[in-house]
Formats: sequence, C-alpha cells, structure tokens
Amino acid sequence: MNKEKIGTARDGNINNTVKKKRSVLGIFYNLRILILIIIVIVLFSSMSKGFFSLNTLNSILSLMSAYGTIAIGQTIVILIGGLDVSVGYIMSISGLLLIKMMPYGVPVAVLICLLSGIFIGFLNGLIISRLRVNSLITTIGMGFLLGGVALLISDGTIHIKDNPIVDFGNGIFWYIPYIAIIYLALTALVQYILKRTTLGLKFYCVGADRLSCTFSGISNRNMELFAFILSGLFASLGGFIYSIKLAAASPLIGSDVPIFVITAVLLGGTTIGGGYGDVVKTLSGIFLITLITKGLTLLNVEAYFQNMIIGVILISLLFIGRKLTTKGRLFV
Amino acid sequence: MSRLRWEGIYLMSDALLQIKNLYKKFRGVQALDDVSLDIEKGEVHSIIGENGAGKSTLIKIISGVVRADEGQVILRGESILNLPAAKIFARGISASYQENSLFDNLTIAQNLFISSLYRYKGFNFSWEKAISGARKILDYFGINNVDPLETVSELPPETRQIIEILKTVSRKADILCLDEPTASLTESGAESLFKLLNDLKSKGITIIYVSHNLDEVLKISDRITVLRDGKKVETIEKKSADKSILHQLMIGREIMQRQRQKAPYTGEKPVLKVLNAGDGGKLHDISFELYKGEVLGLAGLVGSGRTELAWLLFGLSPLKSGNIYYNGAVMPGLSPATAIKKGIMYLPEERKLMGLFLGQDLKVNITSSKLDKIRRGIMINFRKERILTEEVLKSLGIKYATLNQLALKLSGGNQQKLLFGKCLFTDPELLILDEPTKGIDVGSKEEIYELIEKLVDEGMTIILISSEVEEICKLSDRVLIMVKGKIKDVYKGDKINEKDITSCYLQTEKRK
Amino acid sequence: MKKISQAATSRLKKENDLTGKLIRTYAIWFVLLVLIIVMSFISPVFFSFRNFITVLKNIGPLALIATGLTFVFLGGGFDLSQGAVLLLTSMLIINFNPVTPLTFTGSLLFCLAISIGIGSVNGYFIGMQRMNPFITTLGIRYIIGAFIYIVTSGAVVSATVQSDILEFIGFGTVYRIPIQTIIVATIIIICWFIIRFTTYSRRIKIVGSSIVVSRFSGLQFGKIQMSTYVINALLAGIAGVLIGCNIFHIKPTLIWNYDFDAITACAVGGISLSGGSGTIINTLSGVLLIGFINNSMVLLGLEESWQLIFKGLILLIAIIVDMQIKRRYE
Repeated sequence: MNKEKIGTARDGNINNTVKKKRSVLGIFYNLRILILIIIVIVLFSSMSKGFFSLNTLNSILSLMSAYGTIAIGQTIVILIGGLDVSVGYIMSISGLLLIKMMPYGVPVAVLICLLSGIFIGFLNGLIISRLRVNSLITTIGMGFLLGGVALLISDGTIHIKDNPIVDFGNGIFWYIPYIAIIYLALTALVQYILKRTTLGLKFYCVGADRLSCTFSGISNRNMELFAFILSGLFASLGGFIYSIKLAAASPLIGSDVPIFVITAVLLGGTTIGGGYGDVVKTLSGIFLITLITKGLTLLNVEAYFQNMIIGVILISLLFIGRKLTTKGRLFV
Repeated sequence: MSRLRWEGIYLMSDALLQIKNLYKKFRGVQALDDVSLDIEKGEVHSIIGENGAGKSTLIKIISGVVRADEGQVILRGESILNLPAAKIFARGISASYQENSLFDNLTIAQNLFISSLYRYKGFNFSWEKAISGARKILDYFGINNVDPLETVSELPPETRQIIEILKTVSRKADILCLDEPTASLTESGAESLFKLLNDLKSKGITIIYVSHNLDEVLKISDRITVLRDGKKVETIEKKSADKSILHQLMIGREIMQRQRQKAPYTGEKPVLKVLNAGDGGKLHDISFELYKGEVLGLAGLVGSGRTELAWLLFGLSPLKSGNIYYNGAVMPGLSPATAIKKGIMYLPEERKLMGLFLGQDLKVNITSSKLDKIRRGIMINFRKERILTEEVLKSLGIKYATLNQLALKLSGGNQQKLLFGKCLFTDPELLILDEPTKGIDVGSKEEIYELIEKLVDEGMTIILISSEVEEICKLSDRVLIMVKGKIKDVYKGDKINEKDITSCYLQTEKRK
Repeated sequence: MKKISQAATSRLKKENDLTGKLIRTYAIWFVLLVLIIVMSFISPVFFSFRNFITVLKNIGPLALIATGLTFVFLGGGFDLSQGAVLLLTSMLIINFNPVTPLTFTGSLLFCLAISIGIGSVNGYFIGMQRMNPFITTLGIRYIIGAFIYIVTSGAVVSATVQSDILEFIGFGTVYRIPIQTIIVATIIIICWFIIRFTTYSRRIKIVGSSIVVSRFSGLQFGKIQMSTYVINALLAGIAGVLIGCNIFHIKPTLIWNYDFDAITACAVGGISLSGGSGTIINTLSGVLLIGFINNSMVLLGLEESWQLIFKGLILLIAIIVDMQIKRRYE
C-alpha cells in the first residue's frame, strides 16, 4: 500500500504548495496537438497540391479507424495505470475468426469476433487484477500465446470472398467512410462514459490512487478487470474494422500494433501511470500521426521518415512540457 | 451461523456499535489484541494511544478497509465485520484516515461526489449537480474561498485536510470515524473543526475520534478509550480524566518534565551567518547568526517559509540573493552533497516521502547519506557497514529484528529515530530538524527531546523547525519568528514562552 | 472463527520458516529445474553438454541486454530503445566489414561510441531533465529505427567480404566453449561484481527506490540515473556486435525479436519494475528460463504456433508462481 503512495511521489508532485501559474506558453502547450495538426496541414498543403482536400480527409479517416478503435481500449487501460501490449494479437485473432466464421452468417461471425476479444481481455484482466501480476509482463506473455493461437487459426493471410460486409467496410457516406463513423461514434460514446458517468470517474480514480480507492469503497480489482475486458473488446472491434476494410486478415500483423497504439495514446497527452487523459486526446494523437503519414506519402517521401518525425515530436513535446512544469518546482 | 444469531441476541444492549474481541495481525506484529469496546449513540468517543497502539487499524476494521483476523463488530445488532467498505458506508459509517484519500487528479467537486458514490444509483451524472452539491457542502461548512472546480493537487495541505474531513462528513453518516483529523490543520482550522463536531454531535451523530493529542481529546470527547500495544487499557469518562492520567495510561509510566539548562550563547565567531539571503521566491532578506552549541528555534505558521529556509541552507533551493557564511567562509552554489560534506545535515519533515527509503533495509537507510564512510576503494566494506549501522541503531535505541529488515516494517516512532540515525551517520556539525516529532507518540517524542539535548551537549548546533510552540519553547536557546518569508523577530531568554511567540506571528495575520 | 485462527498460526509458522525464504528467493530456479528435468525425460538430446552450450550461446545477446536493463530497472527507469540500439550496431559492424584487427578495433570502437552516445541522450533526457523514461525511450526508438530504415531502405544488410575476425568471434571456440559465451560471461561477471559489491550499485538502488529521498540524502540522482542508461546502451551495443558476428544477413525486422524479451527476462527473474531491488542472479534466472524454453521448443520439433503458445504459457505460469509465492511469504 505504501509503495503505491511513494510511487506517485517519485513522479514528482509532492511540492503542492507551489501553485501552477497559467502562462501564455502553458495555454499553448495545452493545445499543442491541435497546433501541431494545423502546422502540419499548412505545411503539407503548401508543399503538395492535392493535400488540402476532402479526398485526403477520407483516406486519413479510413486509415486511422482500425488502430484508432484499438487505441480507445488502450487509453482506458493506460488511464488506470496499466499497459496492454497484447492488443495486436487480439486484433489478428478476432480478424481471423471473423473471416473463418463467415460461412455461418455475418451476425454469428461478428459476435464470435467480438466475444473472442472480450474473452482474451477477461483472461488478461483476471491474471492482472486477481493474481496481481504486472500488466506489462502479463500481456507480453499473453502476446506470445496469442501469436501462437493466431498461427494455429491460419498459417497466412486469408481473404473474405464476395460478401456484402466488404462493401460496408469500404462504403462511404459523403467522404466519410462507414468504418470511420463507427470509430468516431465509439470515441464519442467512450468520451461520454469517461467524463459523464460514475463508471468513467472510477477509472480515473483507480489510475490516480489505489489506496484512496480502497478508502472510498471503489473496487480496484473489478475496475482493472473491466478495463482489460474493454481493451480486449476494442481490440477485437479494431480487428473487425481492419478485416472488413481490407477484406483480409493475417496472423502476422500483430507485432507492431501495440507500440503504434501506445505511441498514439501518449502523443495525445494521456499520461503513462494513469489518472489523466481521455479518448479525444487519443483521437487527436492518432490523427496527427496519420496526417504525417498521408502527407509524406503524397510527397513521395519514404514512409520511414514519419517514424523519425514521430520520435522527434514525442521527445520534444515531453521536453517542453517538463520545462514548463518544472519552473519553480523543486522535485518534478 | 446459529452461533452468530445467538450472539446477536445476547448483545442487544443500548450500544450503537459494539466491538468484541478484535484480533488483527500485521506482518508479524499483533496490531490489535482482544480489543472490545462499546460506542453509545450520540457520544464523542475518543481513542488515544501511542503510535502503533492500533488506533488506525481499529478504525480501518470498523469501516471495512482492513479485514480483521477474529472478533466481531456489531452495528445495531447486525454483524458488519469484514463487509466490503461500500456496504459499510451504506449502513451509515463514514471514516477519514491518516493517509490522504483524495484523488489528486480530480477536482474538489469530483472528490466530494465520489465519497457518496455508494449511494448513487444512476449510471451517468450531471456535472452541474455535482458542482452545485459541492458548493452547498462547502457553504454549509463555511468555506467560501475555495472553488469546487479547483484540482486537488493544487491545494495547500490544510485545505486538502479540510476537504478530506468534509468528504467524510458529507456522507450523512450516523457514525463518523476521524483518524488524526488535525494533523495538518493550523490552530484556527482545528478550532473550526471542533465547532463543526459539536454541531454534528448536537444533531445526534456519533463520532469516533482518534488522536494522540491529549488537549484536543479532553476538549471534545465524552468518553476516552486508551489503547497500548494493540490492547485496550481502559475506557474512562471525561470527567474522571486529566492529562497526566491519560499520559500514564498511554505509556504505562510517568513522564518526567525537564527543562534544558540553557547556556547563554557566547559571543564567539558564529558557525553560520546568513546575510540578506533570499531564494528568489518565498524568502526575502533573511539575516541571522548561529553559534556553536546553540538550538535555534524557527517558529511560524505553516507556509511562512521555515521549510524553505531549511532547504536554502541545505542547498536544495538556490541562493538568489545575499550571502551565507559557514565557519567564516562564503558558501556559493551549495548542493545537498556539498552541504553534507561540510557537516550540514537536514532532517526533512515528511519521513515517508523525503526521509526514508521505505523499500530498503536498515543498513541502506542509515548509510545512504554518507557512503564514503563505508567505502573501500570502489567497494562497500560490508563488515564496517554492519558494525557502524548496529552502533547507530543501538545508540538510538531502535527496536529492530535484523539489519536486513525493511524500513517500512518499523513503527512510526522507530522510523523517526531511524531518520535521526541516518542524519547522525553523516557526523553533522549543524543539524537542521524540520518537525522532528511530527506524527509520533508521546513516548518517542520524549526520547527525541532527550536525544536533541544530548547532541547539543556534545557540541552540535541545531536549527529546530516546529509547529508545536511548546516544543520550541522547551528546546530552543533563541527563537526566530518567521512571517511570510521574512524574519519578524528574534526572541531569547524569558521572552521564549508560548504566549508571546504565538501572538507575535499571529498578529500580522490578524492585521491583514 | 477456529478456521481463521488456524490460518493465522500457520501464517506465523511460514514467516519463521527458512525454506519459505529459500523458496521465495529461488522460485524461478525451481521452475527452471522442473523444465530441465521434464525435458530431459522427453528429449534424449536435451541433457547434453553440447545442447547446454548451444543454449548458452543463443542466450548471449539476450543476457547482455537483460543485464543492461537490470541497471536501468534498479535505478527506477525503463527502456524501450534497446532493440533499436542492438539492431543499429549489428548492422554497422557488418557494414564495416572489418577484415584486419585494426579496422575491427576501429569499427568496434565506433559501434560502442555510438551506443554510449545514444545511452547518454536517453540518460540526459531522463536523468537530468527528469522526463518520463517510457515516452523518451519510445521516441529514441522511433528515431533510431527510422534512421536504420533510411540508411538501409528497409533491405537486408549482408556481409560482402568474409571477415575472419567476425567469424572467429561468432563461431570460434576455446575448449569447446564458444568465444561469444566467454565474452558474455566475462561481462556478466563484471556486472554481477559491480551490482553486488560496489558503492555505485548502492547509489543506483537508493536512487531507484526513491528519487525524492535520494535528493534529500545528497545524492546526484540525475547523473546516477544517466549512468545506468549509458551502461544499458553500451551492453545493448555489445550484444548487437555479437549478433552481427553471428548472423551475416540482418533484417530490419530483427528489432521485434528482442522487443520485450529483456523486460520479460528481468521481470520473470524477479527484478522490481518499480526500482530499487534485484540482482544479476535474478536476471540470469529469467534469461536462462527464456533460453531453455526456446531451446526445448526447437528440440521438440514443434510448429511455430505451438512454440509461441508454450512459450507464452510457461512465462505466464512462471510469473504467476513467482508472484503467488512472494505474496504468500510476504
């Protein structure tokens, strides 16, 4: 119990007597992702003619939907102070199951796809909350296991053939893909839950201070379990979106998903260790990354440059944030 | 099952809450040992005892945060032992604990809302209602200068404590358990708390009040239960109690009141001379001198810059203006490392946050500030480490099982002594003590006073920061009174008494 | 009630039990032992000098980065950039094609200098500027990864000229023991010595245990934390060089193979992820467990899918067993 208290102190906020001053820079820093998005849009628009158009918006939205949906679940897990690196494999497994189950009808397939995610999330949550194992390590181990299961389901990429669901996956409503509508609706829903319901408030509480939760009658274990179930559910929804868009699923796509998703969440401004952040922040983070990717592709620049840019943005934003908050503080 | 019911009938007495034969063991220490007591409806029942006597554990068991090993807690004839905390809240027991249970990342309104979550049936809620509810609570208790939308992490400690108490009170419970509620309150804050408690009492609310401050306890309670080493010593009526009786019951022996033979400081060269010093923030224009073998008290309100001055001298915050001379030489660009090398050591006020490595063992804690003493080349001389650590632990009378014991597992008083040991291990010439007796019981306090006197007799120079004016009067040769980051006055000799000092630093406050 | 008091007394017994302490300390070694015994019955090839040497050789790079990570974890940090450093130096050493001792020394020094540089950048941001280690090293990882891709265009890096020196380090043996293993063992013994005996390691541990307290104790926590990142990156760099000597065609996707292995090894072995406690022996147990799991899977001739499933299962079981035992004897 004590350890957790100290853990928060180590991160620095013990000098509470110093009041945070709202400076102009501070306001700018709070809007940093928005400002960056505007800068990036202006830059790319001036460099490439076709960039500033609804077509670009369309392709960005369809690019970000799958990973964005996974990031929603990841945000909740990071909010309660955990990490889930098994999301990539949950995504492959549920995508594969979706396609494998197609012969039994679309509703059955979708149901099984989502249930698989919930089930894996439940397992993760059970180990983490009931057996009190570190979430990172649990999900790493689970990741290996799930990677194997994904290979069992299928050796390689499988495709959906002649199914209306693929049309749905690539359908567009006035430049906005259907899958993006799903994604945006989910983001709005989760944002509402986080900000306006007791359930959401409890997530923030668990992330901030577990000891206080015990004292307030909030069950840390149940909230943790629930967060990982949600993460599993959203990962499988991500798998669903990914598969109906590409009409395919592969057991091998899982490995780089967690790092990408975690990056998007952190870039958005949700803090690792829990307690601060929301899914709209995550939306802006993933939008920025996709924007850069899309812009560089239009400019015919090698896609690897985006990683460089993301890395630099991550570190420099953190650096600026530190400089702003450490002013006048002793221990941050 | 049948047994339970039988006991339920048997125990149908007037008492609202009955605690029967409670046992609890923590990490091999018997925290509660066969504790039984009755709490009547509408009374203020105080529970007192030294640190580690089991007061907090008792509260936590009653409110369902900690599970008991054995025993019964019966509320209105119904056993509530080891129910989940939320269910106990719903039955009308509300508790605040010594550990801060506020959520730093949330606003005051959110924090107050969370406290009543167990009663809240809906899934979603409206912010407007939560905020107006919070405002109502704040208004009701007469707190007008706080905005319910402020984030808790930005509040000063005293306001946090008040919010913590409000959170407990606002649950509209029949039984309130308050564990050391005045720990970070100033005197005026404590006064308004007592007024509030009297109000609640007149409304028929039962209050269980845990404290080690005897004055407070005598002021407000109807009955007082004394715990010692996890056992109940006695429950006495207020009218038959006084301070010395309670003292005796708490420690099991009488305390000798001593007054140090105050040596008039000699006019020789000062050890430390501070000239117009400031840290660019809170402190301005600080000047004073400190002589060898002297105890210099620093009095003032919380937030008057006492701790900041200590940090300045220890090199934790940079010196922005003025000069500090130590043993006649200027000290530029001081850092804690060089301060320790020069013989200045600081004992911080929050031993758990700033003082001790709770997750490390005793050896590591003691030697951490001066590893050079146990160094052989690049290696640790483990034999020397063991011998030196044992020496320090023994000389301070710290009770421990093995040297490999974690600091976490010591009781509060022993932890504070361990912190002293850590400071003394660096062989300081000038020791800055920041609230050296904060949150420890009377017995350990006395031992620490003795220790301070012994150190001064051996020629150490001490700066003593304390919120307890009594402590300052008892120990200091001279007292600096700080108000708003400046030194307001220096008292010595007869002027060192509680009344003069308090009125000195309170005057300016009133004038404002 | 009777039941409860029985539980209480049995708990008391456990606390005084020496075997309890032994089990708590060596839980993972027991898991490892069970694995070895079971495997010895299943596979005839498993329990042999040759196979053990193979395992030791294969875990070399992992052992090095896990050792490096141990320093970082002890100092209360976190590192995600190891895989990237490892990939970078392995590609560099192949790219240089050092044929003569002089060029080899040169390129080796260059590799090590690069890794120390990366470690210092990490350490500067995290230790001196107090930035979040997770995000910082994630950023550094992106930057190095992108740099590698930009230089190699995502293609496989292959050795063009045969280098005897690289081959000697990669495949040479002394008394049937691979040179690589000897190098790794030497480095690990040095690290073990540092962590076990020196005041430096004591400083790391107390900084990792609480930054605030170490500040009040007059420790230069920034520099100490920074040094752990430098050591970590240096060891990752050496691991990269060893991999470069062993594999002559390096794919940029190699990074994924080492992504979380070191973290898993440390955690399974019993290094506290929140800093301040653990020894190299802990790390070694984790590394050996992972090494023997991988080896067993190969010997059993399992398909890749089943290999991954078993690996995941055994790791989960190991960490759960370890956790439960620790909780019980706490």
